[in-house]
Amino acid sequence: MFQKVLVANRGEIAVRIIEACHALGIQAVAVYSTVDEHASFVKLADESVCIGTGSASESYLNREAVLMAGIIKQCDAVHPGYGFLSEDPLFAQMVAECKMTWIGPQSELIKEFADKESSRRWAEERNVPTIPGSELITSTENLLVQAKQIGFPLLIKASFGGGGKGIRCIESMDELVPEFKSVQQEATASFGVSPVYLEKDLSDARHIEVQVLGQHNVIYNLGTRNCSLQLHRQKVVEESPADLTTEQQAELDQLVHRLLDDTHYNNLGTVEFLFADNHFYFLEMNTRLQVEHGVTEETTGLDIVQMQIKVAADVNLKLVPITFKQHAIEVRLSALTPGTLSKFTWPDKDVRVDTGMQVGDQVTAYYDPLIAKIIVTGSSRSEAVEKLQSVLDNVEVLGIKTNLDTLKTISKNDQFINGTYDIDSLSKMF
Amino acid sequence: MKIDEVFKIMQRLEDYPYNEIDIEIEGLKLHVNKNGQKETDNVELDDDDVITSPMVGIIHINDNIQEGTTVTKGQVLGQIESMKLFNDLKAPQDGEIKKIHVEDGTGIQFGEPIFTITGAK
Repeated sequence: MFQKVLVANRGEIAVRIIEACHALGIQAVAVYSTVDEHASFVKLADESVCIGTGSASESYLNREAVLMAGIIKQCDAVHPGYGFLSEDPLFAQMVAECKMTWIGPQSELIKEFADKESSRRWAEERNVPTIPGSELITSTENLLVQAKQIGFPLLIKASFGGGGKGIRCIESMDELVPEFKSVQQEATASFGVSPVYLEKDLSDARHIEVQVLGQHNVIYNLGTRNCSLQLHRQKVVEESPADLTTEQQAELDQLVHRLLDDTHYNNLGTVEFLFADNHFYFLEMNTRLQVEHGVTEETTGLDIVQMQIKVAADVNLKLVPITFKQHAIEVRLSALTPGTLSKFTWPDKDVRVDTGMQVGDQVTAYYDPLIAKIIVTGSSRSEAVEKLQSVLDNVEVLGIKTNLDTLKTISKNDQFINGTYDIDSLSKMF
Repeated sequence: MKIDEVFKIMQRLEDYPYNEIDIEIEGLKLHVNKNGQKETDNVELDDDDVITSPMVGIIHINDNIQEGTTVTKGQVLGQIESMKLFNDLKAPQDGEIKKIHVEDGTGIQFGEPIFTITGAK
């Protein structure tokens, strides 16, 4: 097992990883930017290294700075969390070259799935259905031909997009060319490169994903999540398990195995699908820990972050068949504007709160506005929904404008209560 | 309040989206204007300057640099090693190395004080 792990992230997920390290008797080293000097995760870590200024490119995205922190503190492994460098195959490779262990899958596989176009090809080659779409669009003529073939509504997507960026829904031919150009510009600005493709926009679709873990060339299915409640293509509410029939679950399991069997995929991952007209369509594979991993931990009783560390250290997990005991729902409490947190309280029972913030901390414009993940469980879905309603009524946040009211409204919405929502429900609600 | 703390404050301000700011702590009034105008009130700053590390890395101090050594502006005082690259650390002004804050060959973090140098800019 490792002696000292470098936590290459910030905020709530850094806290989560540090706690997992401590539970395994491992020391944790935090890296932080000057803006985060007083953050909880820095205090919680056994040692910490300031790696640069607030702008992520000067600190959390600065591969050399993060690696040097690991080297000077003599860490033997690096946990990247989510976002930042977590899906950067070059960084994963550099970690290995610096004689540290990467807590994540192999860099070749990260690379394969980091690019949406190549991961779609990968799925098609393995007979996993993907959403009808085009090849990469290289010219305006090509754009018009492909769009006619697919039909409207359709989506324009940047191949390196993510987190709701570089994606646009197009209803008619008139919008096509100007929106295509703006997606190209947005992609160039955010990701440096701008390959773009088209995809059919499925109606009444649900976002269903499968948590997987690979070890010794065996792929374990840790259950499903329904993450359909999204605003501006960002997940707001996630639950586990997704409401699927036994047949649908079996089909999904088969697709996941087709996608990943015999790849020696080693560590945690999430396979995302859209489910529409009784068909599953592969969306993408995330080769890292997911924000919403907590709901899966609650339904399975497993500690997913500890498992990641153990797999990286080649400790045999010997997973017994996983049983799903309860239903879990997570909501993401986010800041709407920057500010200083002056009060943040929640009920002391019936809820798990994952947060990296404490009173006095600032939400800055530099990073993701996530304040906390609020997770409830119940022996049935309806019990979990009721708990969510009562917990949210007793959460208090002062000093920062948040989406708490939105979350409360969602928790009392009929479509949510009945579990009949799809990926467009939330944008219709607000 | 020590001079190091003033520099720390100014460094922190780099990260915030203000062009100009007034701060009052422990009798010190600090006015910072990011457009290059820096004024202070009520406190006598001497001409000491603290050279802080521009990056995470391993510090290598040149053999000829000790506390008390006189240096000239632009003189290489040492290197910071990052990913096998050696980045020169130069004297920002003529002066004397008053203090070396770090041990040669050890890891240093971003913003960590390395030298205090005396003398006018």
